[in-house]
Amino acid sequence: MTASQCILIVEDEFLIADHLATMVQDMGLCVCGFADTADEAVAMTERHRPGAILMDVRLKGKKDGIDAALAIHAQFRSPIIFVTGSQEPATVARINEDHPSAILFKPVSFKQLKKAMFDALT
Amino acid sequence: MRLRPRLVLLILATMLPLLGYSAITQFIRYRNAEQRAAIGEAGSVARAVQQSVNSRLVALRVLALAPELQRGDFVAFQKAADALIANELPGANVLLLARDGSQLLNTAVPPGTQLPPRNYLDSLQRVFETGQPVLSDLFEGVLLRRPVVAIEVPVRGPDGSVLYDLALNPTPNAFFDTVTGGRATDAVITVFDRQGVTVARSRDHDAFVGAKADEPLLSHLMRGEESMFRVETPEDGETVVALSRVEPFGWTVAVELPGDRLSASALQFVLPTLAVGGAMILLSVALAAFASNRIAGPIDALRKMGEEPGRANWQLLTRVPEVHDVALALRDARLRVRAHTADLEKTVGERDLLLREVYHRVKNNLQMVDSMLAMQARRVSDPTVRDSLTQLRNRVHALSVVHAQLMAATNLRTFEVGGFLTELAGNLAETLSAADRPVRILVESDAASVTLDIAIPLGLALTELLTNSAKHACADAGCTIRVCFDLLPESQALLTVEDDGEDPAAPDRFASSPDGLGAKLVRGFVGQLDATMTVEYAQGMRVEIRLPLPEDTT
Repeated sequence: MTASQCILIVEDEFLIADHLATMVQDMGLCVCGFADTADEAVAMTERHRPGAILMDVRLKGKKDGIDAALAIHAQFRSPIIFVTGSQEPATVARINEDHPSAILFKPVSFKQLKKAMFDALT
Repeated sequence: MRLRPRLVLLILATMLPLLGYSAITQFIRYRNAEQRAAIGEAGSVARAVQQSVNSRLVALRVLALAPELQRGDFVAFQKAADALIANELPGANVLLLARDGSQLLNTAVPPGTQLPPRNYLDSLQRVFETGQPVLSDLFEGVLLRRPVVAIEVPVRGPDGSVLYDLALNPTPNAFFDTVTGGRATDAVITVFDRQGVTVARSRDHDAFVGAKADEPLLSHLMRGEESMFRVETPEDGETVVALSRVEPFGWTVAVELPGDRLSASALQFVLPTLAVGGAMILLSVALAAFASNRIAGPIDALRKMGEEPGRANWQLLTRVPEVHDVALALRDARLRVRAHTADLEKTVGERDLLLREVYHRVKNNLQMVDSMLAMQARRVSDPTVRDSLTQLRNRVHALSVVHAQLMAATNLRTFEVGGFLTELAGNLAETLSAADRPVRILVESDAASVTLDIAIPLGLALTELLTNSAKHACADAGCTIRVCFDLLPESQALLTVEDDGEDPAAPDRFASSPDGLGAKLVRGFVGQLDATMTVEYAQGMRVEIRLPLPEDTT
């Protein structure tokens, strides 16, 4: 885990995005940007090549976080940590298809996020 | 029972008794006809015997009137007798007998030969007593040394008194011809004399002649009536016997038919009826099978149509108009039910989706509340206020866990209490721990489902209890808190929270939490759950909450 690696936060709720950003910064990492649509997430990933991506499932627009993750996974190597409010079996099954680095369920505690982040970046 | 066996059974139940009845009737009628034929046969043989005797009798009577006899010129009489025998009774011989049985003349030997007296006197005596012609029984001819019968007539003198007995011994086969002249049947025809001794027999004549009939035939013969009866003998089995009298001589003709042969031929007679009947039954069964197919076929087609209402060529399945109408109605009903069911399923699916959406929104909102509390906490420097905000975040988190569990539940209503408590405890262990005083929470739970109504107060009460234990028992060097959820009889459950902390503030620490809010909340939620709570202090604090569970969730 090095400070040079920045984290992309894909989340359409401002408050949650901000909270996640605060926790990331508390870990000593930097946030390279926020995205609230799937397409923006892919574009930002291409631009910043983040060390890890925190990915919400529900996003603005027609595509969701899983679509974005699949697109990112096809082109880039950034590990993706899903942060989802949905514990529905169908959604979880879909997420698992994409070999996520981790799945965290909201609300996410600092320790949970720190452990997932550590696993993703090393 | 299916239609086809029913129809077949019906046919068999009607036709088999009919066939049986007609076969038995025919069988009996045939046997009766055969038996009547036996009586007829006996009668005709009896008449033949009678005729045979009578014709000889006439010749003998004529001979008895010969003038040579009246004159006592036996030599001349024998000549006349020889002439008559040669002309009309070849093979027979004529005797002239005196009252004492002495033979005055016998055409079997030349005139003047010394003759032995007759030792059979029965018929002789009757001739002299009655003056009437007599037919003798079978006896041993004293001259000829063979069984003979005699036809005897009286020879009267001028005064009308009986002078002699003129007897004729017919040829041995005279009567044999009468019994063998009949039709060729299995019947055995026997001529018996008055004593029941065989005179002639259509089968094994030589072996039987002179033999007396066995019982019970003999009794029937002696009764002297025309009759028909059955006898059982070990050799021949059942035999049907018809008797006819040879009047007026007292002899009897018996016709014996073997019973089994009679039955066998009767059976043969019935066989065509049985064959025709059997064929008719087979035909009827085939018809029944055809008819049942015609009836059951459309019904079966209906059933198939019920299974696949969308089938396009369903019209081909039935040609019966009534069934056709029923099929149409059934198909329409089936299609309506399908459409309706699909609608309902869609509605239920939408409801599920909506409910999940609501749970998701609630959870998201709770996350936002949590985020705002976190942001607020970061801007507060007062540790007491910050601590209060952290506690508040834990309470909000408890609500989030309930919603997360509901979203994951397939019925959207209940979820497993064990998973819920574990997740809740896991998060609290994390937020309540500090680097130098770790809080370990061990959860053990029986399998039970809970609803939102129980999970929210239960989760919040547990949050307060764990927070309290962590604050007091783990304040110095960390601690272990045990959480147990046990099912009790009568739809009760017991939540136990037990810590191992040695707190100098005990036993009042629960009652005197810093702001008293934790205790207030716990009591409030316990009341909401209709539960009872006991608090004990031993090694550490032990809280037991005994709560009722609704019937449908356990």
